Amino acid sequence: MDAFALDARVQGLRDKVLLLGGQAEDSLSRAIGALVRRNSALAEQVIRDDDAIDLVESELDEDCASLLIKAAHLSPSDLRFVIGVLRTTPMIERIADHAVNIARHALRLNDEPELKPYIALPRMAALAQEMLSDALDALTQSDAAKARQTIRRDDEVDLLYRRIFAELTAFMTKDSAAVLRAAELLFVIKHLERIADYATNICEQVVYLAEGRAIKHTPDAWQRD
Amino acid sequence: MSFRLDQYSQPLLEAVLGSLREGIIVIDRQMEVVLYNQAAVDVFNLSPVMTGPLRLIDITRNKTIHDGFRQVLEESRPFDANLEISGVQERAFSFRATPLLMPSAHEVVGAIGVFFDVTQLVRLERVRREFFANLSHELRTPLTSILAYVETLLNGAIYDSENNLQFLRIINKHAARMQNLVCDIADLSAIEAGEFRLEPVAIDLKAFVDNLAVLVAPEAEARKVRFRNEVAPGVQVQADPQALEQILMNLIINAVKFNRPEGEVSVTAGFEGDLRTLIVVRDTGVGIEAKHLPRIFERLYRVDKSRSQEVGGTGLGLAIVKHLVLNHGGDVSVDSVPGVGSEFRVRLPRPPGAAARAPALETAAAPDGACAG
Ligand SMILES: Nc1ncnc2c1ncn2[C@@H]1O[C@H](COP(=O)(O)OP(=O)(O)OP(=O)(O)O)[C@@H](O)[C@H]1O
Ligand SMILES: [Mg+2]
Repeated sequence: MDAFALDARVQGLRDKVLLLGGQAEDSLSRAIGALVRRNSALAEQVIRDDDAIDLVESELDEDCASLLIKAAHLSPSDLRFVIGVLRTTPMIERIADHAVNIARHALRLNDEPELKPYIALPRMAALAQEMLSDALDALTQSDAAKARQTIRRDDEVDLLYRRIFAELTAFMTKDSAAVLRAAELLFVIKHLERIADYATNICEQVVYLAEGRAIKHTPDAWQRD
Repeated sequence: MSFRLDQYSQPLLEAVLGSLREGIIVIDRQMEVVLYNQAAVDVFNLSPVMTGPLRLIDITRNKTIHDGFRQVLEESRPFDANLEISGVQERAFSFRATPLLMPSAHEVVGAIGVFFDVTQLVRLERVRREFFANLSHELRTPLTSILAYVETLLNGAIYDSENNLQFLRIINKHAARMQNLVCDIADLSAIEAGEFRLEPVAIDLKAFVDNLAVLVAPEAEARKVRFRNEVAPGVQVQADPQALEQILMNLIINAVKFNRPEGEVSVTAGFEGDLRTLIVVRDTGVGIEAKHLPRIFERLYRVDKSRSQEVGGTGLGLAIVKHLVLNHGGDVSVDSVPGVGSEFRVRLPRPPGAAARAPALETAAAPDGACAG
């Protein structure tokens, strides 16, 4: 799909949804910074900025609705784009929510002594961040190939999730003083895993927008490329 | 797009913009990108596949940048902000957007964004701030105790024959510590300012290190650390003898200080190709965690302030080492495993030609007076 054939109002919609994505990216990277670098000020920023993100989400909803009312005037590709935005926006908003949750866990963890099995966690966090950034890039460029590549990386995240999960639970049984902190970290990796899932969903939307077909229910669609 | 460049000004403008180090992005009222330069490509990691007209959103999703451009378009006045853009590395930028006015048009036709990389400046500023904070702390601590003991003496303790000498000794110790610090800082600024004139000569390392061993011995014995000179005979280095002594003594004393009882310190050396000599100071000490490694060469940086206090360091040694080595055209690096030990590697020039002979070593072995240099 050629982004530049879009109607001016749809163009504005595109700016807005991508900017929202940028804000979610920013929240995620700060939340992770708060956790890994033990910087509570960053965590507080993330929590504070969340209202602004929710506001943009509802604005986008309205924008889509008012465009859809005039659906008859929209070209099929514009229409498809509006529907794509309608589906993508809540995913981005959810990602930002998960980032806020990570920031909350970081705040609690930063008050406690550092727990060591952070080793694989920054890798998982970096992977989730890359997936989000790639998903948004794919959306920006309507790049279905990039979207498919990104979808494949979800398996890596799941693998890391299971590994860190096992590490943390082993830690909990070994050292009772670490139970609470390990539990916080279990939540953190769950949020990261969800974020990667949403990034995957965004990529599926990109494929839909670019090729006009849903891959959601054809699980092997991205196996070939 | 509300305006276009004509066919002559376009290439001229592109050539000028291409030569700038600052990233430049020009957009029109519709937030479409009219022009950008190579530096902007680097800042935003733009891929060459992005062809055709671009919108600002295709270049960046950074909210501050969008808000800034939008404000300029709407209010027609400049916008300034500091940004952090994380690409491969986190980088800091000073971002300024200004309105683009055309003589023919009555309103703002677009906005120009300039991105100036201040990563290095921000870093230097941080180092500078910490340096002065540390420095006043380092000077205040001994000064406070000197004043306290002097006051006690003045208040009568000077006639207390049981304690007065002890008080004076403490005063002396703190004054000496302050003097060391001041000397080190004077040295360091002289080295940094390039006032420390180096006179490199060919030096035979084995003999040189043997002479240093004599100086190290008391400290090493006190800490039950064994010092081994494992430099192979015949290895030479082209260096200023006094500077080389300062470099190696700082590294060796660190290796002894941050060691464990019954630990070991060894010095090895060898040629690296025709141009360089590599000197390695290795210890079996406490080691340094990876997160501290990039910072230990900063002035006054110490990993463990409490431990350093006990072993009497101020955190200037490695900064001096680094600058002396750099002034020789060499480099210094470190590897360390916490709990196992550290390895400091110094690369210095190798003397030219095989005929180079080792000079007399008296200069190197002579212990310095109060303020060296
Ligand atoms: N061989 C080593 N093993 C472990 N830690 C080291 C070693 N060398 C340096 N360090 C760490 O790096 C810090 C900086 O070293 P540096 O020589 O600059 O300062 P210092 O030894 O504390 O004080 P100074 O040398 O000014 O008396 C030290 O405080 C110490 O924490
Ligand atoms: Mg030292």
